[in-house]
Amino acid sequence: MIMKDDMHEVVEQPPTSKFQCEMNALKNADGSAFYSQGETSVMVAVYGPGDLKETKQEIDKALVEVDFRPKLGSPTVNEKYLERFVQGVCENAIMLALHPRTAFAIIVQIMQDQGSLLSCAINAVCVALQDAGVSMKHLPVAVTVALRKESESELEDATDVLIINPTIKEESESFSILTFVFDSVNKNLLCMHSQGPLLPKQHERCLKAAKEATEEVLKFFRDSVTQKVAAGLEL
Amino acid sequence: MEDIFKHIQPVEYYKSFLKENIRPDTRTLQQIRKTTLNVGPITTADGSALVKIGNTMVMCGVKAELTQPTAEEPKKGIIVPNLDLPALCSSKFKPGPPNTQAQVGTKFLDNLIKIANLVNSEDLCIVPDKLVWVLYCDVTCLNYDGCVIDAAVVALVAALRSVSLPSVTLNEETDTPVTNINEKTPLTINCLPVASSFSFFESEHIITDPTLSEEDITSGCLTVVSDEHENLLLVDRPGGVSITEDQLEICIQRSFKRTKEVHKLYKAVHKPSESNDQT
Repeated sequence: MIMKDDMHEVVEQPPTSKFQCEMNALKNADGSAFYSQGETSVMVAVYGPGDLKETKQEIDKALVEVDFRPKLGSPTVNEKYLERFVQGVCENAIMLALHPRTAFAIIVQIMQDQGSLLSCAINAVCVALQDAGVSMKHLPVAVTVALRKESESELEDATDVLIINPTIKEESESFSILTFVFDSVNKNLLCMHSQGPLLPKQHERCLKAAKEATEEVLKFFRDSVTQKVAAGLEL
Repeated sequence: MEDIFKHIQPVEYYKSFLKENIRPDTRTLQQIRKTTLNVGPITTADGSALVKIGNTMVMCGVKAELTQPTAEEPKKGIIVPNLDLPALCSSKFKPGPPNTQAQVGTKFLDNLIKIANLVNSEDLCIVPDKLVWVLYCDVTCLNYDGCVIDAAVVALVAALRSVSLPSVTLNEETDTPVTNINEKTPLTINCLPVASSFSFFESEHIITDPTLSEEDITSGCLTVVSDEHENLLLVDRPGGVSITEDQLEICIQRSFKRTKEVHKLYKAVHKPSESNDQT
């Protein structure tokens, strides 16, 4: 989706087929999802609340262990970095106090990375947690926003092009990439990551645009669950 | 008695201080610990810096070596940052391979170098496709008391700023580099970023520059890196309690203020005659 600065002139409407998800894609996991956002796709499995070594147990809450797997090879520093965001979001969203002395294992497998990987992974985990029926305080909703300089124009910041959920090509052309995670209840910021030189004014604009874009993702979540429930009724 | 209370009920203990708008270490919620920057403590390194923020102590050493550039970027030198959190610095860490926090910190510094464009990588090129500089920036934490990343950023920038590279020519016949130690040029640093960390206690109190015990009882850290022109370079918040946009705005404004203060430090140490300063 590309929007001009004044927010009214929408150049390109996103096709709803941009998001795709298959819940319960893996039969052995307690909850799983195959989720794709544009060309980026991720497979997530959730196990839990499960057993945990006594030395690692926490008496008042459950532990969240996230394993972020790259397409091939073993996880590098990059995956560790992204893993921390997924973990932080899960620790906040899941009602950990309900399952003391246990652990949730969340495995995120990158299937294809074509941009906006972090937001895709967080949304995928959110869908998989819903599939597993884990009690959550709210649903985390992630949106990636990129800002690109308009090449034809001479004017400054007013002409920056804002791209929601950019592709890898759009990311490389952008000077700044931001990922926001909101909670679905109060629309407060759960987690964020931004990189690239950015003025506070531009930052505010991205935040606003990302907040608006969460509606679409939430609607998609709702539709996915409806579909899953409807499919279950037919059997 | 107070000591027992502190260990058994750390959260309640902290709350009793917050009621009076003060912290156990007598700081106000916005106050940042005394920051000390010392440039050039390691004489055998090509550039070095020691940073103290309160009890947190971080050392950075830069080692310059000659290498062959990568095939994809034949004209670009290489900067390799590494953050080490050894068992020495806190009981939190065990000896062994780098833990997650160290790896995440390393990636953070790497991101920062790229985004802030700290050093023009073309400046590190000697002969395209044949010889470039590689700068190994090893950041080691000596004492861990919260906000290590803030100290690490200052140490990295100050250490890189103190680097002077000797002039090198390539001997065409033997294909070996010839170094002229007497002719040194200082490295140009494009930008002076400063990181400021905040944590949130029960989603309403913003705690600036948390110590280790504060990091343990609060949830989630927000790190804002900005430069002198009020540009946000990196904003990093990996989960924790939800915060409102207003709180984020407050943190951003405070980080700008902090950047200005640390800038005075950067400026003060860069005069060749003196190398110590405090705020």
